[in-house]
Amino acid sequence: MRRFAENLGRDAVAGLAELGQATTLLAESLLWTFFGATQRQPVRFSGVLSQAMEAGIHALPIVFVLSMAIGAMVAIQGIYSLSIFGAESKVTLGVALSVTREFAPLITGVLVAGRSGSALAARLGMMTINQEIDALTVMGINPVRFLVAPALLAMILMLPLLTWFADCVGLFGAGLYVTQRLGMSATAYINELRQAISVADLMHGIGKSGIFAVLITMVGVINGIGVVGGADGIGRATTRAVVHGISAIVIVDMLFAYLVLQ
Amino acid sequence: MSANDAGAVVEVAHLDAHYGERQVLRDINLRVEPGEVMVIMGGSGSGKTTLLRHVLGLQRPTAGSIRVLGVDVVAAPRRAMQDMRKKIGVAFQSGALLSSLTVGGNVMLPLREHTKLDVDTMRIMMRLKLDFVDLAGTEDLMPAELSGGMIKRVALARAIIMDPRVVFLDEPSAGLDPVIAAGLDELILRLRATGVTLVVVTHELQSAFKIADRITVLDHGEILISDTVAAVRASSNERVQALLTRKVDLPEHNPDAFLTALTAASADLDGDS
Repeated sequence: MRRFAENLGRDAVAGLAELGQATTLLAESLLWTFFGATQRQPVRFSGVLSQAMEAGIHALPIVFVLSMAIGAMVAIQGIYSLSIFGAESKVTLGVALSVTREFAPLITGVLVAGRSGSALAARLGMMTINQEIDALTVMGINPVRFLVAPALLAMILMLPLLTWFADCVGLFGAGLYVTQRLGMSATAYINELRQAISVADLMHGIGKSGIFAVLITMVGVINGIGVVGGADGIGRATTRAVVHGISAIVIVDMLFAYLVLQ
Repeated sequence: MSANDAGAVVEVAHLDAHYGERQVLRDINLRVEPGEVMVIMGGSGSGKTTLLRHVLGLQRPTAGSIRVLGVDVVAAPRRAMQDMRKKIGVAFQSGALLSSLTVGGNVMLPLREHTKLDVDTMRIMMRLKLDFVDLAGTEDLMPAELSGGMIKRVALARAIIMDPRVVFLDEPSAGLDPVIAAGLDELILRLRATGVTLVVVTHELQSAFKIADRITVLDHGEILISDTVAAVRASSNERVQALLTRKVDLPEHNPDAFLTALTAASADLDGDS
């Protein structure tokens, strides 16, 4: 029992230390972004662009497939549930709100955490082990400015865009099923969507994805720079980055929904 | 010439360092003069790489002071450290080339980050440095395509791209075959001829005696001697001589005694149960 309490205390302290480290890194990244040029060390646009390509553009195919499937799945379940009350015709409203406010940002966030968060942790972990971070430091190149800030900016830029793309594809996937199942025309479906979705609904999902972007990047960075050991350490960091990233997204999503809808 | 230019390039005084409870460096005092090649020697675990990491400001000491080019590495603000780091070059044991950049990209990186030179000028400078380390024409290769010796030479080219006043080399010939290692020694001598101060951490005796003006011998975190090559060779210190003559001090291997002790221990265990 005592050992359990000791381990719990140690883990809690370590968790708080990581949270503090992540907050410091976030603040430092933002400082470099806004004031790096005044220190003669600007955040390079080319670095942001290459990270944006990797995290955003290269993720488009898988976001397309998953969003299409999720949209269709929500429509199938929606029509089934509403048919119990004879209210199938209201399915467009349900699909529109659930896809834009919840499913698109959540699925995109989980996907990017699995894809780019883990890649970031692995890359930084490998760079730590290979002394590349030390090399940058002794060259007078701040690693946060050179590595973390571009990744953060790229993620903050690309995740909302991916979420917007997922909104469109998810609603398209749902529309394919709804129009077939309910014998509705595509024009009628689009008109119902336009009536159902407000700008606030879209911004609710896209705004959340900005927070997810920060979470995914910071979790990836913290796990990457904390790597000890060799390949085993990188494997552990990568797994941890995915698990912690997805957990953080889901918990923050729940808190966000609670706070906004109260 | 400023006051700092006239003084020591590296000055370490009463340096202590710990890893947790374990003391890894003990009262280190070291002075590297402009233009000399200082070799820091010692066996594995003697603390030489740890000393280098402290000098470079990658680790903070428990006590003592470190000055590089007149800058207090322990207490200097970030801006002063950054300015100092533009005047030094470092080649790590593993090379530490950025795997996402080409050879040329790696060598040009300090120029790209610290100067406003146009790309063509940077390319010319990069090619000159690659030529200096006998790697002309390799700028488009990726680090993964290089051999161990080539990685070390690219790291050296990157270390000297800003024409630094002092270059730190961590185990430049470790893991290389004797011919390639000798080639690296020649490069270091070529670099010394340009007037650059060099601090070389190595455990290779032959290499140390070939390139050094002075040698500092570390053992178990302490400096045994820091003197000219001739004085180190002539040292009467047993631990220095043990290192120089590669004398191994292992306990005598006695299988019979070990078997007897093992049998006795086993008998004790049986008796207890």
